[in-house]
Amino acid sequence: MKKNKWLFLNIRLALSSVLLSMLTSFMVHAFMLTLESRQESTFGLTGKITVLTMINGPQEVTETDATYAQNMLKDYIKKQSLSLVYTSVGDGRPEMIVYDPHGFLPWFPRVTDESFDLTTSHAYLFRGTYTENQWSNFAKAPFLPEEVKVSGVIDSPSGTDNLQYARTIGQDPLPSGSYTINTSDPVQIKHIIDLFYQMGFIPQVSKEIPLFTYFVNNPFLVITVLFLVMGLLCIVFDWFLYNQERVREFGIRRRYGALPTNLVRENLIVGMAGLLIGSVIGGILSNLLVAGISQTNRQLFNLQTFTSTAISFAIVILTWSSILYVVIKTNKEVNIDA
Amino acid sequence: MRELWAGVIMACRRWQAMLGISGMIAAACVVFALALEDVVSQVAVLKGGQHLREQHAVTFTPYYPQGEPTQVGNDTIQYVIDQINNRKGYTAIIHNMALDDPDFAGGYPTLILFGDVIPDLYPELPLCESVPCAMKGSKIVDEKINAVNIEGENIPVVGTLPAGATFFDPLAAGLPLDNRIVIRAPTKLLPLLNSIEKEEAITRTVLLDPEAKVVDTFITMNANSELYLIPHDIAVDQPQRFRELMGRSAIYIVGMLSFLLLVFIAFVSSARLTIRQEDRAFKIRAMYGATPFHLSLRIGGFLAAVVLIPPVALLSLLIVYLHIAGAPSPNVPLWVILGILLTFFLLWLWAIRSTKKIGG
Repeated sequence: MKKNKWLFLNIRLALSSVLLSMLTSFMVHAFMLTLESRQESTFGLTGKITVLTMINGPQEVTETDATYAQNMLKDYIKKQSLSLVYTSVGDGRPEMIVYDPHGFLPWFPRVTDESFDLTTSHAYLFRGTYTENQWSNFAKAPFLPEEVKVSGVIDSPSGTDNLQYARTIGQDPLPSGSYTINTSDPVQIKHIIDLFYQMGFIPQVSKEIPLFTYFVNNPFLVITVLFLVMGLLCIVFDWFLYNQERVREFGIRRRYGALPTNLVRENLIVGMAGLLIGSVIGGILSNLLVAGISQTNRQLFNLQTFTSTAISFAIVILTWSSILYVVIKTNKEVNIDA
Repeated sequence: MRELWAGVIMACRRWQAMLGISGMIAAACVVFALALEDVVSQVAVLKGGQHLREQHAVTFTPYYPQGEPTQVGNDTIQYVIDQINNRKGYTAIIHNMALDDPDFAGGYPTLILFGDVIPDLYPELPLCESVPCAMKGSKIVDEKINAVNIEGENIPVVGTLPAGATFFDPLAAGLPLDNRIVIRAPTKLLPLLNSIEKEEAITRTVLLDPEAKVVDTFITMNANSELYLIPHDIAVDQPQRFRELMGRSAIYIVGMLSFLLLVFIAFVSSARLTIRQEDRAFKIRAMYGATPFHLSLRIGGFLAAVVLIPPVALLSLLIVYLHIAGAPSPNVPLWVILGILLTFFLLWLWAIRSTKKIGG
């Protein structure tokens, strides 16, 4: 009879753990996607990041003044140990323009050769793109400006979508578009915006993307965390009511000499199997279901499955022991010393 | 009816817990329905693109000139016309037709199609046959629209499209046509369009099984006018994009299903407690002549107030919204409603059995 009771308890705990583990896997996946998308939006630059979207301003600027300001900008970026990455946002050439004098961008080749001509823009074509294919087969690249020299082929950083190549800053004027800089210091940003103003641009959008805010502002991640918390509340509610129904049983055991800590420990150890099996099954099942629905090949065990199983197991074990403790320790019917 | 209402009051007496549970069920159902709608739409887009994939169609992602519309050269337009006339491609204008003429096509949004090959590529779309011709979307009841005029060419409206008709162009990703006028225009009109209309026609060009030389010529011609077109082979690109989109939707679906099950588990625990608490009332009512049918109605009212009415009401609103917003698969929430109904009846049966057990 007792065996049946423990089996029932374990099935109950396992079922809830399976579902919570699936929700945890949902959250872990969202977290990883957010991390990936953050890396995409910063192109591998670390630390504090600011993205400036620059558009042509109403101010009149001569070509000489714009060139002078552009050289000042390069000097400033170099002196302040920063990096500047331009990306097209649907207009202009499908390109990235990079100024990275200190080699902060891990994917972009660093120029150490003294003979390298810094006044010419050097392009590195992204492997697998149309431009790389055209260049390799026919030595043609219709998207490249004429004065740019092709210096190699590299793997594109993630998040570049349709962009075809990255090139160094040359003497040609910088275009309007999105500029990513690895600083959020207001003094530095103001100075950079002033220099852009002298080049004929005004900022349309200026946004900082600190890591924490980026995560908090990500709706996909927020929704998954919210559903995980609400799912956990449902489990707390269910397990609490279940243990409330067992108050009489705990009371009798207590009167026959069992200590509250013994009761908690016994139920925790007995329920451990259900909690662990449930968490593991949930992690694997969510992986299989996602693979099935999206028709993709996913490994049965991967880092994501392992992480979500571990997090889920930690949550359920903490929840189960807390509920046991609260019901056994605070209930008058059980706690005869109170 | 009185019994049903008494059941609702039974739920209202425990409003804190019941409000929480029913709110969670309703929220999860809505998110679940939205994820499902996304999946169904994507599957439809993928199915709609089957002929295009078989034909190794090539589409283009545009990077526009900075600050002004492209000055598309006449040679580029002629090149596109030649491809279309040889049944090696088609093009469309969806957003930029007659922007300076609010009365164009009676003020309704339009879809202008150029290409005789279109009916073969989209056989599920019953388009008119003799170009030039036009058809009205099923929700356009305006009888006055008999013809549409493009650059002096009078194009007659010859029929109405069936309700729910959708254009599964790879770049439009499932364009609902119920509120649109679909115009099949001859290619001779293309050179007469203004620059912004020409620009859209160029960027929406779909080439069918083109030789590499054709794609290169088309791209180079446009690059000379600072319009940079990145080519994509639909047969490679569409299934890959589909898998990425489905991956995200699948996670939502699996997550929401697990969450819904957890909420139902919590609700079953709570309902069992409620039935226990009401056990005496049920017994007294049975002594005063209430039949098991009356008691089951009361329980049904209680369950309906928590697990049926709030999610069904929200999902019905979602259906209306999806219809108004012109979503490609607006009736998907109905499936979730059916699922909720089934769950409700299962819970009802379980609750009636529990009452009998408790009542002896």
